[in-house]
Amino acid sequence: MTSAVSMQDARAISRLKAGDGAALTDLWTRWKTPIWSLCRGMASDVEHARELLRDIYVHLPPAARGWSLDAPVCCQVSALVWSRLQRRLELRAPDGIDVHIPDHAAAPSRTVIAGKLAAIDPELRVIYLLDVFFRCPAATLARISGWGEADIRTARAAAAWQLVTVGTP
Amino acid sequence: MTLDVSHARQILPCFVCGDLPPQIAVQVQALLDAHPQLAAEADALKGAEGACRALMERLAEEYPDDLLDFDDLSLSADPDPVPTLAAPLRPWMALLAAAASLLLVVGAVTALHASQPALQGLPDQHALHVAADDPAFIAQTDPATLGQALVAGGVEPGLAMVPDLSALGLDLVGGQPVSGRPGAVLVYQGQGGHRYVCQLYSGAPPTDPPDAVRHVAGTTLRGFQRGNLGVVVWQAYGMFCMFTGDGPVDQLLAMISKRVALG
Repeated sequence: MTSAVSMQDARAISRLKAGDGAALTDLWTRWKTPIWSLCRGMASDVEHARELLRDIYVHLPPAARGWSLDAPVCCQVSALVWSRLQRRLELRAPDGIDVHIPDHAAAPSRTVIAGKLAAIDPELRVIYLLDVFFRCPAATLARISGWGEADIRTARAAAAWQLVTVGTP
Repeated sequence: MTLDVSHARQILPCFVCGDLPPQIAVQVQALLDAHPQLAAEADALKGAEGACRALMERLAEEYPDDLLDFDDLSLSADPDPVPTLAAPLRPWMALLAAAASLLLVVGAVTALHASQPALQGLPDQHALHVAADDPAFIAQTDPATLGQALVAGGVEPGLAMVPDLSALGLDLVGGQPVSGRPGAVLVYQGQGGHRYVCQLYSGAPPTDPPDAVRHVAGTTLRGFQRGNLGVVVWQAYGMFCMFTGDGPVDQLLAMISKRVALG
């Protein structure tokens, strides 16, 4: 993970801010699969995931025009996706997050991973999936999302431990 | 600052995803080298990430091909434009527009009725579900395990979030996938063996006018009385829930309000 803005990202953001359509197409081509994964992991079904994806697709152009040169593209895409999902799924910031570290941990198998993922509160699941697919440092995500860095780290930890818990916590 | 194993476990998820300052990451790595149990936990967390990625790669095939590029969108387009007054229409254009609007409305209403579960059929559905004798019924009292079983049975992960209603004095009996449309049915049992059914569906809820409405913690609960059956409908996380139980709807609304207020 890095919070440094690469020269490539800086060029891309400059083009996006200038309204370069090709830069937007490049951006979508690069990030559409991770964005789709997020939508699919948060939606109730494929059709709902399509609605979420289309919402992000529609909001990406105006958002990209206002992007800062101080944060990597992955983090700015991540923040936009999070913001749109929060709004569309009515996700609220949790009042408190309990992190349960299990006595026994094991990587979930392919057959149970979907169920385990679905069992995680959506407010925490979105942060875990953002982490898996966008790799944005908690400090940077906190800076551009308005969430506290400690909350992001705690949410990430709570979801991660829940996924590897063996049996019922 | 020197880390011990207990502290290292708390920050292990951040270590696994590479989001720790280098000086801390070095200490965690040293503890991993010295403590096989901690190393195994780190491997499990990495494995969970890998399993998530693999799951999503399988689902990536469903990516909608109609979203390929931005040819149809302007960079300056505002997706939530402020409504503006349109220029006046000529009479014949207004007539055409009215006719088109009417067709759209009729089409939309027809589509809504075709896609929504009918509230009038709920008493029969409720009776069938509380009997829990359908071959597809999964008798399972643990919410997480039932969620996994429902997904394995074909329920979309987002609809397999089985709520724990023990705070309301309701014990989970089991559940089953809905046949013919994405959805799940959950059955709970309260004191005296009184059973309640929770149906989860994606999409829009029924539009029948409610008999009672409550607003709790940002959630709107709509109550319906169908004979002796109370029905409460609300939306959350992109799906809607229909909770049914014998008795007055006000009693059910009070029960669900308590659950929603608990978060």
